[in-house]
Amino acid sequence: MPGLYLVSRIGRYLAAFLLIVTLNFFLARFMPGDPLIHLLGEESYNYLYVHEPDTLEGVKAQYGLDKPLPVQYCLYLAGCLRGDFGWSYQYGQPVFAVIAFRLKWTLVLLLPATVISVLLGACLGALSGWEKGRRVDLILTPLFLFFYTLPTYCFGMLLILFFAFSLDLFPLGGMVSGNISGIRRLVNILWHLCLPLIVLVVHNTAYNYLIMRNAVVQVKTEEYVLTALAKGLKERQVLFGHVFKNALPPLVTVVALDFGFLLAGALLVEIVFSWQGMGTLIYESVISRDYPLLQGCFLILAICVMLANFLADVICAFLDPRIKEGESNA
Amino acid sequence: MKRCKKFLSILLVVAVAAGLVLSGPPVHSQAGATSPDAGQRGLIAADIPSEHGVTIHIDGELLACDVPPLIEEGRTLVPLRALFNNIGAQVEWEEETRTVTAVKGDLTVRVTVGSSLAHVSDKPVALDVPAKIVNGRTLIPVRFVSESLGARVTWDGAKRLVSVATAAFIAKESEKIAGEKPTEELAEKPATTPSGGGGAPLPQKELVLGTLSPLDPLNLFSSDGAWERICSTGFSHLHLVRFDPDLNVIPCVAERWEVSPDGKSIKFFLNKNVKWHDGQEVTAEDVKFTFEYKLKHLVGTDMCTAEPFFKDAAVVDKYTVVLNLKEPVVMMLLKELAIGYLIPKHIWENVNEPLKYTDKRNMIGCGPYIFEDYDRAAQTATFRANHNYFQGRPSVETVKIKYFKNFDHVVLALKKGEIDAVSDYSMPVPGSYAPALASDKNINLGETPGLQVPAYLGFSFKNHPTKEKVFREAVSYAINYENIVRSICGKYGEVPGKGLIPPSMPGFYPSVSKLEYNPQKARQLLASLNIKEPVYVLPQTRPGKEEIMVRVAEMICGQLKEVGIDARIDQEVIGNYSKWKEKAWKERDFSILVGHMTVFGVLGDAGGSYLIDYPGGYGTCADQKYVEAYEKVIYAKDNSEMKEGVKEMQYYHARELPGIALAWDTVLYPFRTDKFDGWIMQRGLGPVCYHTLFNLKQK
Repeated sequence: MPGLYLVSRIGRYLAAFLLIVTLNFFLARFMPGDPLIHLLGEESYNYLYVHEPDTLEGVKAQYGLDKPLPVQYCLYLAGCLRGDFGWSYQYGQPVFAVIAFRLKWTLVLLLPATVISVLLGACLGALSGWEKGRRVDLILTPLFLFFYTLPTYCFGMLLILFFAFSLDLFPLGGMVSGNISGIRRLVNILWHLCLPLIVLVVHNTAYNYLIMRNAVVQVKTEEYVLTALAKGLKERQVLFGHVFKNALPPLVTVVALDFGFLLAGALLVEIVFSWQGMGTLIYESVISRDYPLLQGCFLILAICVMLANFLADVICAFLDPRIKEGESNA
Repeated sequence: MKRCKKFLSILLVVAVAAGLVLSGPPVHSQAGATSPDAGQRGLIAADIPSEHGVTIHIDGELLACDVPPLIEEGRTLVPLRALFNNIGAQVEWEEETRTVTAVKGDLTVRVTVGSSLAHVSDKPVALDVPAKIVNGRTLIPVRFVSESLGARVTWDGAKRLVSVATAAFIAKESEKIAGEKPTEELAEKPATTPSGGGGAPLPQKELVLGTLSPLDPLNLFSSDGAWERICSTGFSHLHLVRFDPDLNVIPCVAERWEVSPDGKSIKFFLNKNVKWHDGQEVTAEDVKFTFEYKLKHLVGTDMCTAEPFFKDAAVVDKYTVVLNLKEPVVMMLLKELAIGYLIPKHIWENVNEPLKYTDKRNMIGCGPYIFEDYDRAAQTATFRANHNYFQGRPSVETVKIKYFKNFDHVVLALKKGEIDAVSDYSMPVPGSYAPALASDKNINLGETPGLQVPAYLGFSFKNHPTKEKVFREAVSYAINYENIVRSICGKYGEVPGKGLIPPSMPGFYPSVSKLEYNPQKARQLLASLNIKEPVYVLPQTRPGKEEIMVRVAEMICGQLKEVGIDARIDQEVIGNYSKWKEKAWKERDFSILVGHMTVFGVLGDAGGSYLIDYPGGYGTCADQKYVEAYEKVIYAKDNSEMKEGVKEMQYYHARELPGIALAWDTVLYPFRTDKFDGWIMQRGLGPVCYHTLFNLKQK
């Protein structure tokens, strides 16, 4: 029963979501440092701290930071249900508006990067796994191992130095040049997208490649492969018709798991290329103790990761009917 | 590779060709461009001087001078006396203050040797380079001549000829050609303070500044944001008063002010022709509103630092407003006012939560630049010159400000020419980038003595043994300053003086001797005290600064141990800034404190609040002599009184050592010199300042 399978999955996700919401609230509160120092600026904070503690308490109350934690928690939960994640101290805007802007630009970078790197990684990995020990494998595996170990920050800087600074083919960073609109703006965005995309694609392809390669190496020893070959199918037909589909589930699962990490973990790439994504948003809100923003980010990330996992579940069920049968039989 | 080379060579050829086509000779070298009718006026003489010499013509006549003009750092310096005498002005030299005064009619020009600020009829005018003495004659930048006399100055590079046409001469000449064509250029009022090059057409190139403070959100009062930092220097928003390049407080929106005899109220007389960008007039009501608004909505934020001293404001008439103070802290308030900007009443009176206000109307000010647009995705803000600005229009039409996430990116953008300078209030580029920047001949590192004290020791006057002067002296001899300077400032620092206050602070007194490392002397001094108990060192553990402060504290402990003091770091404060604040500022229970004095901490009261036990202070020194010197600084009524106080504080620091600076730093504010000329360095704060906006010349 695929329906029942999905319902039980959704139930689990909801429970996980509630747990995340709760953890999310308390994590932010238990970090060291006083959020007021970032609201007031250091000199004013210091002045008030020493000379006018009452005013400081007043400001604290103004931001709702004086209430007991359970009360703050209930207010937070109620807000979440209404879709109101609060107001970002740092940005002076509703948390939702800040995140929506950043999420959009993160996806502009991340979706193509994920799609390209999954396709590339899966195809090259499959090829390499199939031809293990032969020329393709001997060239590609060390190459991708190298790219996988190369830090994205370093790789990004090298690309900038060579292609943007020395050759002047690409911009040094940013997402778009100012004061242009229409189709020119779109082209300009693509131009800005090139280098960070290359960094992410190369790094993620390397990772996907290694997973796919190992999966294919395992699958190709199965008896049905031998049967297919014995039937007289060509190697490529066996690889992409039979082996590929069966080696895909581990990759799909890993990509889904990784999606959340990528969403927040492109931090270094974002910093190098001055890209305004979720990674830097989270980093900045941690630094400035912007609790509402931080909580909003984590929540959105949790939702994204869960969505991606849910999608992976569906895809895996589609790819491998045993999964949904096994679940419903259990 | 071959292809790459080919591509590069094509790129190079294109770049060179474009450079030739686009750059052309400097604007001021094109006599024909700046003054199309110069030829008719007969300003250009035919005589060609020697290879290095420079000739001056005044109203077409050769100027005879005993000291020849010279070119230094691309600026032409001319002898003041010869030039002013020639136009019939009386010139006097005052040895004591090293000031030249030239008087003609009701025009008085005062220039002090070594200072980059001159006064024209008591109005301050910034100089490109300070006046200097050569062979007993004072030389001033020729550009200043145009600014002080309303004269037109042109430079012919080929003939190395400076031609000065005085206002009277221009008027006479323009009468001759009147009727032929109306010269709008001549009719335009030359800018007063500081001038934007009279009536010369505005350069079309845009000035692009990089900032590391986020432009998002578009909120004027976000203290970490770029808007506030940009406006602190007087950009789209202005202040009642402002800082000149030497950090003296001078008039701005207020043309003058009067201080009451008790120092508890200041009457500001506003300039009558200042307008908000939406066309409404700036009045005393706006000033009063600004203060009341900040008190109502922004108490406790960086935007309301004048609040502790401020009592109330009263409007006398449309252009006169009185600010009443709780204490007679005139200069302190003025310094706060030089950073806090005015806001229009008609816009902000309807905004109840200023920190949540992100409308474009945030940016309606009365400054020299008008906000035009902010592209959020491109993180770029565009400003246009305010042609109706009451002190004359600024000298560049378009300024763009672009946000960068990291220093690497900023430095590359600067090297590539994408930006012309880094604009951030007191956020210099770290010295580690200097070699990369210095290799580019079109980049000036913008070195200026820092206004902060990157590390200092504060002694407790409550606890033994630090309350003994002999002990503090011994500590001062036990420290190897060279080592500390090298470890926290690298190449960009120097061994500090005993006066503690860094050289860029107005009132800095250079005669106070430097600190000295002499462990033997330290041991001798300590011998008389016989100290056995451990001395605790309290490093300031503010996140972000903790690492360096703990490192310095470790070095200090090591050096004190060498002379026999059992110095130990107070482990309780490590990783716990709250504990540090409790011990250092609330209980004030420590022996030696290692901390950092911020730019405004120094500029505000010469760093006194870090050491003194006084309302508003954080220290332990309650010595009446120190309190007197400190009060002289905070109760000063004008720049010179304040400088006197600062001088006294330095004497006290040197004599009694309530604190010791561990290093003075040189900070870097790099800028490009290939697109624009005329950057003016503001002491300790770099070249992106109010004065630069009026002085830039397109190359």
